[in-house]
Amino acid sequence: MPANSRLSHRHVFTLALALGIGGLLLATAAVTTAIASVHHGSTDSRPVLVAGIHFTYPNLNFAAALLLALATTGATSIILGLRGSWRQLGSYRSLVDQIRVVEPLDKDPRVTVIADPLPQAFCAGYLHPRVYVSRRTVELLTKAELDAVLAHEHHHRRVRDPLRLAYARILSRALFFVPVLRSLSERYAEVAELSADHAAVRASAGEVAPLASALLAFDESGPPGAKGISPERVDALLGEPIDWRLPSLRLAASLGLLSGMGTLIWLISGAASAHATFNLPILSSQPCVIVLMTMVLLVVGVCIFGRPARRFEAFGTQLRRRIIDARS
Amino acid sequence: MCPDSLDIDGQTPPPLHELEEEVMEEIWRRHEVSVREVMKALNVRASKARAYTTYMTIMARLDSKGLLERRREGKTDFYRPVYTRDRYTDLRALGAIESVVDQFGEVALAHIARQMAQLDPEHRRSLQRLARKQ
Repeated sequence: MPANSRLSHRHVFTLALALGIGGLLLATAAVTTAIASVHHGSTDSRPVLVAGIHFTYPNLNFAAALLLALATTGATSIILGLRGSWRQLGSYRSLVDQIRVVEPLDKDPRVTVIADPLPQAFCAGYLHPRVYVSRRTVELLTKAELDAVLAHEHHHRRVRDPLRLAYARILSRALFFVPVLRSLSERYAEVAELSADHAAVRASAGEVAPLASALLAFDESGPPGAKGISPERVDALLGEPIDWRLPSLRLAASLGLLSGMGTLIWLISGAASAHATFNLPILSSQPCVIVLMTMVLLVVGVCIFGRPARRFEAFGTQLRRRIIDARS
Repeated sequence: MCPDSLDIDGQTPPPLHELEEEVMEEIWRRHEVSVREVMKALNVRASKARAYTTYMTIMARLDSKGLLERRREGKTDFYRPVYTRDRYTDLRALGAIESVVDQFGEVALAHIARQMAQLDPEHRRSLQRLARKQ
């Protein structure tokens, strides 16, 4: 298990990193190419009369329409990526605010002990991750078990797993046109635990028992119905080979899509700059169109980032609580 | 496991806030105390001494939250914990929705036991066997 899992640990993340960077570059290229092909001029736009008001609509050729569609996809990805990063940072900050730090751990000051009714052990933080254990963990585990758990978490800290997990998660949602990223992101989360388990066993002088009994303690006292230890981790501790194959079909589809998009952008940008006779709707010479578009964008922005969304989420949480209360 | 089987029976005691926890810890250590005793014990350790009324308010609040029981003797109120410390922790664990880490499930953090999967009985037995091999 060790060599195998460490190998895939590196590979899964490198692949996700490469595909993510590729996807982001393409998204940016689509947007910038579209903007660059816009040649502003009132003569190029066509007038239309709606309810007595003069509007203009852009005069665009097929290549330009296709480029516009690609640019919209790219812009959506970039916005989703920014929103995902913003949310990750925000919820991490709220987590840190709400965590009640009790003290640093006596024998290892790099570890923070927190007050939490459940046994917890995790690594959080992006640039300077920290290891957190709950006081319940310290009470519950024997010294050997705690050492194994801390070795597991320090491994996450050393390789900055929270940052990697956040990166993989954000990009897999933002780059929806790269389907394999989601599988890679989920796989990375599993493989990160396998590697950390391996580090814990190594720290216990090759003994599996301390980590195994610690994992049992966590699994048994977790919240009812919650997900916990994956069966694959037990298999890995038993020394069984890990059975995971790269989703080659999805990878091929993703690579095909990415290269297809790249080629398309490259080809179209040539065609669009040769004809260069279109306006994007936003840049239409009609000022009121610009104002209207800005207002629509503002409303959309507020709904996505602002209060209504948060209120809606809070309402959902409240509703769930009421349903649980009603059932009991 | 379906959500219906969640053990939420309305008995989950409320969480403790910072100062409440300090006070409860002291009461758990001594079993039955007056406000003045708690104040003396905590102010010795605290960097900034807090007023008697602060402790009085907190202990009255803990009483109304159902965590303390009050007994009046002459002019003095004595408080004792309703649950032992372990019992409190266990009850809180049952109502684990309040766990900070679970509340922020969307934060990317590497948790030792919060994966997408769950152990089946066979794997659990294997893990138990591994745990016994000391």
